Amino acid sequence: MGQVRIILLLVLALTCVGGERLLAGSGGSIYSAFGLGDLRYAVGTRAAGMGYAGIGVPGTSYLNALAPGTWGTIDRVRFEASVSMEGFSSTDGSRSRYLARADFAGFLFSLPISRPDRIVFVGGIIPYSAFNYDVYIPDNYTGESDTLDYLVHHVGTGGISRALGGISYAPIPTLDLGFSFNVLFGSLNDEQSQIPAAAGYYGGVAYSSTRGHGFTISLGGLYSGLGEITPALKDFTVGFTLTTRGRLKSSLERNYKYTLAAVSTERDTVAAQTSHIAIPFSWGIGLAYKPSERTTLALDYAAQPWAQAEINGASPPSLRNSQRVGVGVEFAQSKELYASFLARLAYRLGAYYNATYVQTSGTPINEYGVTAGLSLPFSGDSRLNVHGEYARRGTTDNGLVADEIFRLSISLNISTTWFQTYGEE
Amino acid sequence: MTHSMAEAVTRKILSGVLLGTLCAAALLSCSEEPTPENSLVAVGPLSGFATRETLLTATSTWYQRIYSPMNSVVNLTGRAGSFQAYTLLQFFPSSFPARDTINVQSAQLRLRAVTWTGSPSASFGFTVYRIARSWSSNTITWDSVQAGFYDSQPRGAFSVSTAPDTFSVTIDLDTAMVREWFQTSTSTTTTKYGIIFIPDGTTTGCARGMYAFGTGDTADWSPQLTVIATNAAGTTRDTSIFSSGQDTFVGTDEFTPADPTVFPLHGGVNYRSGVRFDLTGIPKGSILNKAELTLRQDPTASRISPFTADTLISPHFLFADTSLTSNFSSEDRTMFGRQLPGTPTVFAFDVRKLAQSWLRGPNYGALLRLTSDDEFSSAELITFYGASADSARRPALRIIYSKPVQ
Repeated sequence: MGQVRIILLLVLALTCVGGERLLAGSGGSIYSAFGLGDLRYAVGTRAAGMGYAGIGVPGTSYLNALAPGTWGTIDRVRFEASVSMEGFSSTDGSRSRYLARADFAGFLFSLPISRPDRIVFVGGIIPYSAFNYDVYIPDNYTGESDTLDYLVHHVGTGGISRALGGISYAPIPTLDLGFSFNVLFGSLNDEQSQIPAAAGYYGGVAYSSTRGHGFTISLGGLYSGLGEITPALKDFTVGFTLTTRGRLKSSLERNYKYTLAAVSTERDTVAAQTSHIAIPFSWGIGLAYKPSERTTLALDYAAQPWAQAEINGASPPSLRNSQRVGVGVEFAQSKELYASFLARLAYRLGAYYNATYVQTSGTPINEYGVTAGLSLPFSGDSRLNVHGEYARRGTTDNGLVADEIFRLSISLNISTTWFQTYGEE
Repeated sequence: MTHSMAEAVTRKILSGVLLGTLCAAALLSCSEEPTPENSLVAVGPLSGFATRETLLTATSTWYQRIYSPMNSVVNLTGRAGSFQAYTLLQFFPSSFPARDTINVQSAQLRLRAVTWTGSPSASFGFTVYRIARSWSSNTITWDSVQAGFYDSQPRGAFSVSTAPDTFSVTIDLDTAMVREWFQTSTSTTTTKYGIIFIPDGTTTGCARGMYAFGTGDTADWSPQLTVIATNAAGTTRDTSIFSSGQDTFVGTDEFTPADPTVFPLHGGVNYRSGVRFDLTGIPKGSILNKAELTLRQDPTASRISPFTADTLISPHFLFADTSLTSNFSSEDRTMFGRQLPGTPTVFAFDVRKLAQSWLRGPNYGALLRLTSDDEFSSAELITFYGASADSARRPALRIIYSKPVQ
């Protein structure tokens, strides 16, 4: 219990920080400048190691914030806090650079309320998207009597976070249903500095910040009774998730600093413009196959019609409908609490293809990657989960940028038996 | 849990943490700093700046005479054209010992003339009078020197028909007046308020500047009073030197230019001017990359001091529309206007900071004045063509500005 309290305190402290960055390392991929930024597919560290496939996989020991239908099998109070590290090795064909950073990747907890009815409450906060870019663009002005060469330095920070609370319930033994109420909030900040090349000319900084808040509702289900249709399907489970369209109230604030000095009173602010951000509905289905107690195979498909999105009341021309497919496998030799450490390790592999919501210069930006995961047991049913990933995104065709992405996430999943009652023998 | 089990669990946790930390460290430690050199081609929705250039001419210019306390490093006395100046000087009463029975044999005041305005070959002279009222060098101005401010009885005089740029001025002061400065108490007839130099009737073409207390390259160039005195019995004779006190000058000028389209900047009085431009054509929020103000001088009405190596004009941000006396920003050397090389009648200023504020609003324009080094210690007069002059001569503001593309 003492260990749990310490971790809780740490997690609470991290939660207070919200989506703020744990470590510096400014800049990531230029593709995070599109739409709401780099979207986080929040299936948890376990599913991330399996190619982000987990909608159809019963939770038991893991928390999948994207799929409320998977929560019904969670049998203990659990706390899970995550950090993620992301490295982008990007090239435009002539130049390349590597930028990496670490982020707080969320905190979730589960609270089983009724074991027979598989009523489980899940709550927490996770990132939804991240703005993270740092680019310099050379430009110049040639007038009748003067010329001005300058750099434009764009820095994007911020992102959208998602706080959620929901419940799952099993109306019949083979079906779990769940929902979560999601509050989306955050800000997308762009800092645009003009840096003249020659002395005698002054630069400045234009800041724009879009703040938004609103909510969505996610519904999910997990059906494990396929064996009743035909025995050949008895080892299969199928799940789905559906998240409603979200309409976030937004305000666009612009302010200016008329020098490049770090501190300056030469500032101006433009009155905030209120508008809205429309996040399209999303849906996904997942299939899991458990040929043995040790092995779980999973396949997911998810889609979201981002072409219907609106940011500050306008439809961004560079967004398209997104879809992704992921496949993965988990091998866990034993789940017995008293098995050896090695026997209780869980190994995961997966791959995914993500047709991202970005399309620029007529070129769709797609991402594909391979993932691996490891689950290290310690102290009862608690686990340390690690997920590593290598992915590629984009292309250098049409003057674009290709990213090689290295992702690593670590989550600490603590379980405890709070509130559980045991019948008299 | 037994001790050995706890150790095993701890080892497992530490192994996991170590593994994760190593991976994370490897991932993060290779990160580069984003720089212009390694920045990639920009794609996507990032917008830049739209840069434009515009040339504005002044919509209005105006000027105002301001009687400012001078209290600077040089005190002016004399007349040059319509400018005239009086110097006021007081040795600190506390520096004189109380000697009610002292018998002043002689009192000689020595000054160092170091600048001139007008013509150095013109005759220069002044009469010394005793000041009858209390005054402060920090506050006194021309309009304070009214009738009754000083006695009508001359207490000394100096004159020279022609003189070099610098020379020493020696004046024998009235010993009766200096004796008063040693008295224990004062009255309406016994004062210690010092002296004032009033230019004499022959001085019409030259005003000279003399070092003030505590200035000059050597202490000897500071105003110095040498008093030779004896006691009442005449048995003891002392020579005392006094060199500390307060001083200033007050000046005035009636500026009546032949060309009504010009406006003046005048030291020693002072005249300050205002200039305003209409920036409403520039989009709000624009970053002003450059804002250069140019003023064209009218050399015929100007009187630039030969003692100023680099004639500078100080522009100030006006906080209010009312006057040029107060409500303006402090002097900023980075904005000083100076003569363009090769075109000495054109003064150019970097007024980006001011123009940026005008764009944000409110725009009350700029105050223009001589720099503090000149305004309070010279009678320099520079006239510029104003907003009503022909368009080629008007004050002009060339601005390069950038507006973020949204």
